[in-house]
Amino acid sequence: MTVMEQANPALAAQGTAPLLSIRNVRMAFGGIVAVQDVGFDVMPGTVHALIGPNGAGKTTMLNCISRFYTPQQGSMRLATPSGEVELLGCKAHQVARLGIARTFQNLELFAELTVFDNVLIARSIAMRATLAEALLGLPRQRREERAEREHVEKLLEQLGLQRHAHAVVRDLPYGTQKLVELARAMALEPKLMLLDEPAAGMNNREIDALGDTLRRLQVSTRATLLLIEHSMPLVMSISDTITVMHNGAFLAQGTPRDIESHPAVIEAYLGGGKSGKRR
Amino acid sequence: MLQMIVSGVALGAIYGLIALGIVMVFKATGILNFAHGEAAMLSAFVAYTLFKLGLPLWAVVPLTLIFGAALGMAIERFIIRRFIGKALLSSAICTLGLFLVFGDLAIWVWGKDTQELPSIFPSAPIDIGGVIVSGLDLGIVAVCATLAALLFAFFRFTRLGIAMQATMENPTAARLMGIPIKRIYALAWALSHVIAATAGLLIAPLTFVHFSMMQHALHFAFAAAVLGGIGSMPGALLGGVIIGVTSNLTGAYVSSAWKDAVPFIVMLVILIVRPHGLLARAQVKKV
Amino acid sequence: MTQVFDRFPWLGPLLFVLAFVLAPLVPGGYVLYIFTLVIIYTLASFGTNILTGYTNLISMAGAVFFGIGAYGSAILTTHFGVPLVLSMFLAAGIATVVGLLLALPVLRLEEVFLAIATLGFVMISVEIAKSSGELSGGENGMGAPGPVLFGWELDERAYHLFVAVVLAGALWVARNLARSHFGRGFLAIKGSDTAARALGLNTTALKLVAFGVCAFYTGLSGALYAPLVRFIDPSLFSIMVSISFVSMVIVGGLGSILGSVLGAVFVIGAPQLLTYLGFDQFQRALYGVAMILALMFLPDGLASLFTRKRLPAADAAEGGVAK
Repeated sequence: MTVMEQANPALAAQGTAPLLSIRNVRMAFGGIVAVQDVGFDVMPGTVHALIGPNGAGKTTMLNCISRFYTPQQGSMRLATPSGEVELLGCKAHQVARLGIARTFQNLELFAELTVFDNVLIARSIAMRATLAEALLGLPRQRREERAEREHVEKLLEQLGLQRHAHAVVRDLPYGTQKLVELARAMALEPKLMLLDEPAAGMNNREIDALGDTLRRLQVSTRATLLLIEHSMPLVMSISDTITVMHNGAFLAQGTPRDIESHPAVIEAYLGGGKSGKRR
Repeated sequence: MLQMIVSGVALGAIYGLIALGIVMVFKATGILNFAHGEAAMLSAFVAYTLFKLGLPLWAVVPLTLIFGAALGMAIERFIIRRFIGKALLSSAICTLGLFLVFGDLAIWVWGKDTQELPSIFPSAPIDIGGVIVSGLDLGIVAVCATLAALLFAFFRFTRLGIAMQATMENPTAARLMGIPIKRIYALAWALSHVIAATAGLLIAPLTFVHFSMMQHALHFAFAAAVLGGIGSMPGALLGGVIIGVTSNLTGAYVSSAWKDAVPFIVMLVILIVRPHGLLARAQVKKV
Repeated sequence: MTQVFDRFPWLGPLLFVLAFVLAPLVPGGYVLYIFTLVIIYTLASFGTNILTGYTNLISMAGAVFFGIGAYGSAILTTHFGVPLVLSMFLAAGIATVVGLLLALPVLRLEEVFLAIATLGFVMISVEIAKSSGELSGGENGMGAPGPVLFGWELDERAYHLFVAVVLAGALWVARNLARSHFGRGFLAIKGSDTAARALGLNTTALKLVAFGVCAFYTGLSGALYAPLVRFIDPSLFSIMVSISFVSMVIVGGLGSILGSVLGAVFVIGAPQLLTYLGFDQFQRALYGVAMILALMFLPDGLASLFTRKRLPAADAAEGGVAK
């Protein structure tokens, strides 16, 4: 039985194969173990939240999946049309081509470029033209340019960013910047989106809007979302499944209702005496 | 052959010292200092001038070191500081500019003639267990070893040294812990230039004092820094010694044309095989 | 002043053609020679700009590519009778291959290693040049034949126009590159290497492309240089040459065509001015001071005095200006 099935017997009965299967991942930096023996499944088409107190290892986990870090041990298997792929054998830039997109906690936008260019760069993986064709401005290059630019315009419209299209990202307000980063991830047309604290720095109204956007996104693209989030209202309202990490280890998993009242989770967040605060 | 090795160690120790200064500043402020060799050259010239003015050697040396410290602090304060934390390109080009300015400055003040600075150590050969070693080589090794020991003690046992190490590891955390990082930056630059001044003084008897005395050594020093690990100060010294010895032996037994290619070849091999160098640990960039 | 080139985008190229291509044909002689040099250096500046201005990588290997281009074309025409245009491109090609072989192990590492490795490369290339005796004249250098195109010997004016045509072609290709997903990829690497990789860009491969393009353009400019000066020696492989290429883009303006031109004008013109004023021994310091001042006070180079659009080829909409 998978971890998921243990936590949620009803899902075991469904027999759906997980999109992303994580097992026994261990990530240590020198003497510090940030993630130890963590495993969970992400089911396709779901909104899956990864929560836990600060320092729980959530971003580290995400960095392992997107291959910016290499775990010392473990496996991360992605289901693709051509079979299962072990992510551990991939380089960071190959992850996007497998259909995994991500946003960053501290925003990694191309600050000096426009919104349009930021999103257009994300369409590079869809372009087949070779270097020679690019250097000589051959027809295929120009055709693809036009096509991708149209794609970007439509995407920006979808997210309400079209009036900022030619503004330099650096000059935009923080909330808009977060939306641009989301747009960029969406431009990859991913099967799995890894979102690192998408609601950070937002007020309640913006968080509600974000929740709507994410839900709409999920419905229209049928992508799977794995998000790290601290805003409990957002997590509770949009998640199908929640995985809780604490001190680098797996703590619990279940539906929002399960987690809400889970004693170990409550203790971890409130920092009870026995589980020990690690500040 | 032993002779070659010993003089290789001495020369290599100097390369290692220069490399040490470069690594120190790179670790502390993230800046690649192309002008480090020229700073050493300027210090050597200052020593020459002081000596010419009639000061005895035991006074020239500390004054030169003070000049080094002052130069380092001035560079950091007025030019470098605004580039700390920014992309490598801007600060590296800046130090490149300083490299050029210092070169012409030396020519302007002291002209193009080669000058002599007497050695601190007697150059008479000394017999050690059957091997004839020059007093100069021995002196160089002794000074470098002492300096290395002092630096080790500084970083290990003094509060300032530990604070500097902390800043090198994680400037944000250091700042949050109350360490005055601006002062640490100034200290790192001052210290590295004192080391440069020492290197200049030590190498002067071998290369004589002239405006291009350090250009050859700089290339060797960079290779040494890469070999030892650009994040490791003891690595820089070790790298310097290895390169010094290898290049000397190559010059003697293979051909003198290949002697200068040695640091570059060593460096390329290391970059392919073990880019983080001999002594530094592989760094994982935090995302 | 700032808006002029933005509002009339054809003004820049027109002024360039008038002032740099056509006007110098009138006096000829030394003046023409200087302007031909400026055009040749502009070509190298394009290459350096793609590597340093767009992709934000430092390379000290410019002199190596320039030298290979110069020696390559001289040797091919002298010893092997290869016609001018072919030998130019072959020499540039050789420079590119050499550059890629060197860069391969280093580009996947952090940028500091590229800077150091290319420094080492320049330092040993001098030795190699000095010791290849028969083929290249060793320490004494070799003569390079004047330009002969399809059997016609080109005089100074004809060669000047030839060089300008080559520059125009090179500019067209560079623009295509800048406007393609490759060009955007370079900018992405500069903006955030992490994000670039997260978006599926193979940053190592892209850096190789940038490096190769830089090597080609720099090599080509070296190949054009040899027939102009008719004599080349190992001093081409000096660090000063590499530094002058870098200072072209820093002082002129990173990432812009105008910046490349202004940078070339600076690098060729400023020493001329110094010599005229009698300070020619301070050429190095001049470059150094100019670079430091540019970095501290005019980070977008001289070009920023004339145009607000810093990266014209990167802006998505044709003729769109950032609001």
